[in-house]
Amino acid sequence: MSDQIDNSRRNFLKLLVAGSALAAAGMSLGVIVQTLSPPPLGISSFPTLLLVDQNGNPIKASSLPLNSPSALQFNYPLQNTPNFLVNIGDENGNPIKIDPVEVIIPATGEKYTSFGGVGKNESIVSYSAICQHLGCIFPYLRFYPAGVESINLKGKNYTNVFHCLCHGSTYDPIQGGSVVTGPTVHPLPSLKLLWDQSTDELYVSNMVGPTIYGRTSDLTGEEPITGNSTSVVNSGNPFQ
Amino acid sequence: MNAKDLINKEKILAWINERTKISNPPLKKTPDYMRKWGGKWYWTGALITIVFLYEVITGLVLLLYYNPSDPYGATQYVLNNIPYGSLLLSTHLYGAYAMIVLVYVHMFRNYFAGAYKKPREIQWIIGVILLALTLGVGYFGYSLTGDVLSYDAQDVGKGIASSIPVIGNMLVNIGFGNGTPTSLFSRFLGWHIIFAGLIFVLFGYHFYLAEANSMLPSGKVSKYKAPAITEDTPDMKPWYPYNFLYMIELGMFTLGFVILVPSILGMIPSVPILLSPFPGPPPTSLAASLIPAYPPWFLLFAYKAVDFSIFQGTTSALQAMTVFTLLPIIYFLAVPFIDRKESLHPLDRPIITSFGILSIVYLIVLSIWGAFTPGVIISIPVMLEVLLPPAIITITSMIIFSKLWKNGKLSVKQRDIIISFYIFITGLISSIIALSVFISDQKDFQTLSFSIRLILLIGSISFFGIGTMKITPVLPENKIKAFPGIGYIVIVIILVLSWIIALSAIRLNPYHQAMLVGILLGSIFILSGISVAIYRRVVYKE
Repeated sequence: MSDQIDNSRRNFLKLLVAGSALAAAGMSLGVIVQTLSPPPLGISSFPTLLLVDQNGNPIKASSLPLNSPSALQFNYPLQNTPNFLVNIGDENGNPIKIDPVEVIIPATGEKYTSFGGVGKNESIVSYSAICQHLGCIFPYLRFYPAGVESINLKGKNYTNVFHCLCHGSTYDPIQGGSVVTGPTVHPLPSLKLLWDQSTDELYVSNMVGPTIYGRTSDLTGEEPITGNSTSVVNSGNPFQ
Repeated sequence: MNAKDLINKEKILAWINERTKISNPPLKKTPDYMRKWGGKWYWTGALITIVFLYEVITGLVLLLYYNPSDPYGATQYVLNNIPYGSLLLSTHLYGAYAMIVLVYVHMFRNYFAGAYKKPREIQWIIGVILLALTLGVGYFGYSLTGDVLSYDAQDVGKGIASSIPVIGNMLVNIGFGNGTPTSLFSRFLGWHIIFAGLIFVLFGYHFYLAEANSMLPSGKVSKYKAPAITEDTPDMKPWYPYNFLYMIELGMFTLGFVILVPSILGMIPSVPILLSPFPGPPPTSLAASLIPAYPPWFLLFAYKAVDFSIFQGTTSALQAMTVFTLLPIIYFLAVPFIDRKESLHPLDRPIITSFGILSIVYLIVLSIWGAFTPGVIISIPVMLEVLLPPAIITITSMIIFSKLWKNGKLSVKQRDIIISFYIFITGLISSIIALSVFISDQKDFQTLSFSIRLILLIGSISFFGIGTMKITPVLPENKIKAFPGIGYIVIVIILVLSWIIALSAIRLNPYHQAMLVGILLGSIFILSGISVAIYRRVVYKE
């Protein structure tokens, strides 16, 4: 056996051994790289959740106070994602029927159709409680019910609006959460409520409009809500 | 330089080598016998290094996910929500266990071999400190999970630290923070990493000294006389590729077992909680109330000592720790200065060797005892009944052996060592069987202690055999000749098998099949290790 042959045999053997070592190294590398990248937190579709109070009892649509300055908030579609629940009426205390309307996003010019009111009088609506300008939340972002509170902006009185005290953005919940005054260039996302006529219970099932402020998508970036309900919390009257 | 030169393989390799110095690392060459079949005892330190590196890598990945304000949540998140998370966490735990066991093996091997003698006294002392640091890093790491065992470990640690007079409370504050859970787990995380860093630094010096002092040669070479140095001789093969490939082989086997063992345990339901590769239930759950308060298994020996009724009063824990932990550590730190004779042979220093054997025996007995009767108070007669016989048996038999050996009436042959090793393994297996009988019957430790004593008697005498460790000079010539043909076939089979396993493993679900992936990954490592071993044997005749 010449040295030449011996060497090539040896190299062949080396290649075989390196091949199986490569399988071990490659697989470990794959495992380590995968452990480094956690899957994004979130859910794949909008859940349908029953609105309940803090004791877990369903909220009755007919018991929601009209024109209440106290903020009712619930998380949807993920945890730490507050939304307002409001029952809107005029200054005489008559409920206002809220229709779905076409809303323009001033930033992009895109249009979408908001969700209308629910309940017996179709006056109950829900909007994201995170200001679309820079993410301020309650009590800075608050509702000014007609006949109870109003906000004077540049000499004009506004009522039945969401107004943010941080930088002055104002939204109209009767017009689908559209922008009334800047600096915001995005309307408040509108939530789809469902009203069960037989039980008077309320469900939340979808969301439309700009992405929730500070998120890359509505369905990621926070822990999912466990169970089939989300609790509505009364955060109190910010005007007192 | 033309294009042909640029792609010339030899030149590229030479270019790389000239700059990376990869084929000429500043590491000592070693004589051939250390890399041969029976030479594993020379590389126990290398095994620890490999496991330590594995712990650093997996630990750094885990660090990215840890959250001291919600330790249990973070642990559960790693287990359930990240790909291969359960494999990552369980192998990090078992890697730590392997490291602790290997540190003990390394220490006792060098103790019996007399490696602490001139010129390696400081190297030995740093090694003992590294043992303490390893137990410490293990303690803090074990406590990070936030499960019931972690709170138990914290209680035990706090209890012992606070019983120290004068500085006790300060030690508790240093170790465990200001009392809030977040502060506690931030401290645990901090100390865990600080201890690991200290280990890294001290290991660096320990390793430098090991290189500078050279490996302790076999008794044949040193004639069992200190100072024992491995002289550099011209016939020694270069570090690269001989030692390099050998390190790869050892690394493959070590990592293979570190990944394989917890993966198998992770697929077995109802592994006893002390050995479970996964964290226990949260401390506030109903399940937690059924688990007795345990420290981690590697500290059980000290925990059992606290139950001895000989230690009384408010400082009983402190007394027990002093006798069973502090004094042994001081003894091991001081042993280079206690035993200053130049003979390295274990039979030439029967008392020193007996202390080594007894340390192992007590470590095992107290640990098992603590695992089965946690918190049960042990009266003085029972304590003596368990602890005295091994001492009497070991010391008298070692003295007798030593006398016989000095008079030339005892010669330990290779075969004797192998036989005594098999006896020891048999004893170990029967002790495991005896233990399982004990668990199912829930008998008192008394009944068990007789069989344990008997087994440990055999064990003690076997350790005498292991203590006189000699190295198989060469693999029998006929085996080498028989290798090549079948060697090729096995290497090819291993290559095909590794790729089949690797390709099927990546198709498995990285969440609920992570432990199966671990079994496969561990197997590939072991198979590749076998492949490297065969290659070394075929090509280098090692």
